[in-house]
Amino acid sequence: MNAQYKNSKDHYKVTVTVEPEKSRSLIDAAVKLGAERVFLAKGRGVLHKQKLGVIPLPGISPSFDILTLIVTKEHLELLMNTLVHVGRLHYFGAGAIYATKIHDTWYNGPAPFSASGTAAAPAQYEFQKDLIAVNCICQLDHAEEIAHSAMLAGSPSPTITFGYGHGIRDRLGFFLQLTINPKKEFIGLVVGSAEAERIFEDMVDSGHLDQPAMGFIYTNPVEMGLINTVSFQATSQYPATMEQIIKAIDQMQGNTNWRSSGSVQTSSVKKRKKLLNLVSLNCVVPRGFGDECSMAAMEAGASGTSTTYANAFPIEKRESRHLEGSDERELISLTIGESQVAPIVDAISSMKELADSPVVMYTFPAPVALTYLK
Amino acid sequence: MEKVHLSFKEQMRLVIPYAYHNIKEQALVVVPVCLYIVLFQLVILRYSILQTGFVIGGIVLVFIGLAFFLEGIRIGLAPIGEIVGNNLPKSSPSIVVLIFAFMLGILASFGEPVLGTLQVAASQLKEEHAPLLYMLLVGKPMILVGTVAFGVGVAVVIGTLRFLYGWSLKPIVLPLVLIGIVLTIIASQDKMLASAIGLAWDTGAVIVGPVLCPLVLALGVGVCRASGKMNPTMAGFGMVGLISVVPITAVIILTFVLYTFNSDLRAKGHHAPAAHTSTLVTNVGAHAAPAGHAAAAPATETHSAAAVPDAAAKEALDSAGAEKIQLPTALEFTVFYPRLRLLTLPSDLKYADYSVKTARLPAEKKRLFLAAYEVSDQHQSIKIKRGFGPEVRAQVPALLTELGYNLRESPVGIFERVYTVTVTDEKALKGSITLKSDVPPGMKKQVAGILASIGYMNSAAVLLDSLVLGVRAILPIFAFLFIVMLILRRKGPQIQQIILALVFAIIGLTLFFFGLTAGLGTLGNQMGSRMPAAFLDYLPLFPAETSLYPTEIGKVIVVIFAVILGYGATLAEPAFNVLGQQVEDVTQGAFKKNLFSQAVALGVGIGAGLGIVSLLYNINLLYLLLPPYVLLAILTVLNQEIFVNIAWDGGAVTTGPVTVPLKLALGLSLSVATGAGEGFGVLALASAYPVLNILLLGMFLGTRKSKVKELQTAE
Repeated sequence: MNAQYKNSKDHYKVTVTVEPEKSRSLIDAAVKLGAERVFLAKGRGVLHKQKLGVIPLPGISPSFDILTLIVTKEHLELLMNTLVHVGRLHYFGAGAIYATKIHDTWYNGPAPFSASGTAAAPAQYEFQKDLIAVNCICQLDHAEEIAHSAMLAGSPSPTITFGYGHGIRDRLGFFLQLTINPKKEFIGLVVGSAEAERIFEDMVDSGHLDQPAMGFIYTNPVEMGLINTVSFQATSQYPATMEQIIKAIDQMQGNTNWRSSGSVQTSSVKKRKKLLNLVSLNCVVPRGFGDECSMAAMEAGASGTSTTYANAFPIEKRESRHLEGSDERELISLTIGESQVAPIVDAISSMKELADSPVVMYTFPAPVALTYLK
Repeated sequence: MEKVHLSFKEQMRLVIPYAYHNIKEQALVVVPVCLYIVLFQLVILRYSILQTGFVIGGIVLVFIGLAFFLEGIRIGLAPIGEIVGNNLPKSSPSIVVLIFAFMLGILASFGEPVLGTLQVAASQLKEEHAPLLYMLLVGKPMILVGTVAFGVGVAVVIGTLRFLYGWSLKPIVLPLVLIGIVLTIIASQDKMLASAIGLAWDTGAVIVGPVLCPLVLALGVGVCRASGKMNPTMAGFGMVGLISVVPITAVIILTFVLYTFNSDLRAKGHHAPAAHTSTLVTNVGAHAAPAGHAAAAPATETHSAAAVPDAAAKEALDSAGAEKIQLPTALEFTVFYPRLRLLTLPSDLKYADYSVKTARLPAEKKRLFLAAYEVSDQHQSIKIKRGFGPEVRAQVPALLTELGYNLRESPVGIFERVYTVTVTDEKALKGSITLKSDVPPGMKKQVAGILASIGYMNSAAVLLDSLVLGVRAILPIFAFLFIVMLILRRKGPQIQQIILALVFAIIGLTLFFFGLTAGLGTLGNQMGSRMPAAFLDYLPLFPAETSLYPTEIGKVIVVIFAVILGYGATLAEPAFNVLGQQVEDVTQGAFKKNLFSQAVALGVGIGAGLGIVSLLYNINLLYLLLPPYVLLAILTVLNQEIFVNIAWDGGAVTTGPVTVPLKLALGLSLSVATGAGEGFGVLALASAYPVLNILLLGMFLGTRKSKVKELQTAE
């Protein structure tokens, strides 16, 4: 392990999905509290289509900003409450915020979070516990179908992002590489643990994720969260939407378990071979270094990586530049066995190309995963 | 990292689906519009498809070429453009970035081949009838090309500034459009200026082609990423629209400047023959008539009312005896070729030096032959039309034997005689046309076009032309960007990938243009030449011909055809494909390519239909062009920024190498048949309505979104 890198076991990853208009205020609030960097990626939501009779009405999916930041355990609740307050995320339809416990964090620059002063939370909100995040990587143009199946099974609107995959493609000759499209779609959603298995299975079924080269799906536990994304394009026919009513019941019950009582299972839980107790390793590197980073990881034993692009705020100034409009990063994700973590982290931290660049790596558990297995 | 070595079979398992998928994607957009034209021609126009080999082969080459070209753009031009756009502003001062942008715009627009199509279409313009148009398109085309290139360069600079500083598109595009509208209204008061204004609007419509569009999109994305100013949902959009709008304004201003400061031009304009509304004769449509059906166009050159024949001539045609026939003088030069095709060249092609070895028949006999005999190329037979008496019939064997044909009579019925023809003296039937060296380029293209339209395409010459066009469009841009990327010392795609991308793009464009000429061009010419028969009761020289349908029904059929053609041809446009994909990529799939495509294509169809309406009913095109642009200006103010950007970009990419030849073939043929005018301005209509459609869609979606927000985030 490169001596430049520090390690910590005290962090949480906070993810916020919100309308683009609110991003700036949330980023400012997080930075003010002590976040070193907030990473902003672009995505879209998925809505059930509205129809005029049988004719589907034209519509475009809502655009979302997905903010990711790392916070210490000590300041987690303060940060979460502040962000909910600033972004009004407790209102229905405002977005989602959730926190995932990180096992290990490695970074070669300033700490990802260093609180300045002792700020008090502007308000206290009640967060849902016992949540599971389901993450899926699939081929281009397949995400909508998978997302819809999740929504039909009870999930709130997932978030879909474009990204790129590295894997077997990179081991082929250059011309053959061109024949495989590296572009992927990433689906992310957070649901109550009682519903997670059914949603997981429905997503596998609709996306044929257990077939060769169709994709990869895994879960990770979420410590706490507030999920208020919408799934329907509502009209003004009624004073409240069905979703608002469901949300109100969730709040009264304190969880979403009531939804599965008395309901008919729409999917059969097939006997599938799943991968258990894996680890999700995530690296944040400056844009332009993602390919090398992925190659280093694969040489150290990873079978493949997934990359999305994001912007970091505040922007890191570099004197040599005429224009400092943006600080672009690549968010690389790998799902690997526990024993592979150390060699891959070593390999990435040893990269000469990244010697002068800010890098953050962190891991969290991926207890259940599924892909095609021979 | 250890490479995986695959067996040949395994490699083919990757390569074949990849190639199949890419080609299939393009075939699915090209083939339907071609099938539509074919079926329309066969069923509605009742005209068999000639040169089927060329047509089928050409269409296949179009979608194969498109597949190669778009792949070359994806793996080469787009990544390099984005890298340069992203890194240049970071490592250079703004002035360097703007100079680069200006040079890139000019370089790319000189390479765009679509402008050449307008020149071909207008190459039969008569200087005395439209001196300004003639000067811009035939006499001194470099003035127009240079102005357009300058306009594109300025547009790219403005677009880059927008991305660097986060400016809205609205305060930039609106004044330009308003200037264009005001100048157009002023110009409409003068006949000479009015004809050139239509050209200006069309220029803006066609300049954004298959290379310029992906290039500026990639550049725009890169600059936006670097500046971080623009909402990333709009990253890269708006520049393509500017590239369409700025040259329109530049060319309009050019026409005013030329008109104001060139007294010779004004003098020529004032002495132009009066009451001659048809200054342009189509070469692309009219001459593709089947042998025996000489085009409507030549006849209209000498008649001010194009579709109404000279009564004396009509009477003369009906009578027997070649000696007494007096036909319009346009048919001064007719040549028979071995495959029983007729070639009718413009009578005033004064720059040409003809060396035609076969012109056996005296002029009167040629005219008679054209009038009285229907020649079937497919069956190599000649049928005498009804209405011609036995004296005319009797002349057939003598006429054709003089030419070197051998005849065998196959009686079909009492009143009809069909002669099967075989060629006995091939050498005697060969002909050639040699043009003098000082012939304007437009004239050369026009003669080549005439020959191509009746099946005498010099395939090697067209292939070479297509290759030159492809290389000219791609290589300078690639080289320029690659050099800049090296100077910036940025890592881009591997060199093998760049070379492969270059090869793909050049091969793709070459095959595409060749296929367009051989396939879609031939098909379009046939369709265009026959289209007037749907509603015209009398085609000159063919007194026995009546229109296929009652006049008003025929016109409605033509309009509906144009709407569907505009819709279908747009979906096949390469630049349109690239933009649609970019819209989907940048919005992370929120705005689907399909929704965008349908909205734009529908708008083009409506615009194309209205353009044809203006020709059929002789409505001043400006009455149809100005109101939508005024409405566009209003909707631009009211709409969200993202829709404004996407709408103006969408309108700019609709008229490209697929739609332009088809629309021109149809438009010019109809404009000649009806005497409605030159046919310029029709393309501009097809650009305006898609913008309108997207802006209306934006209003609709914006209203629904705000309703949703009200409901769900109540305070």
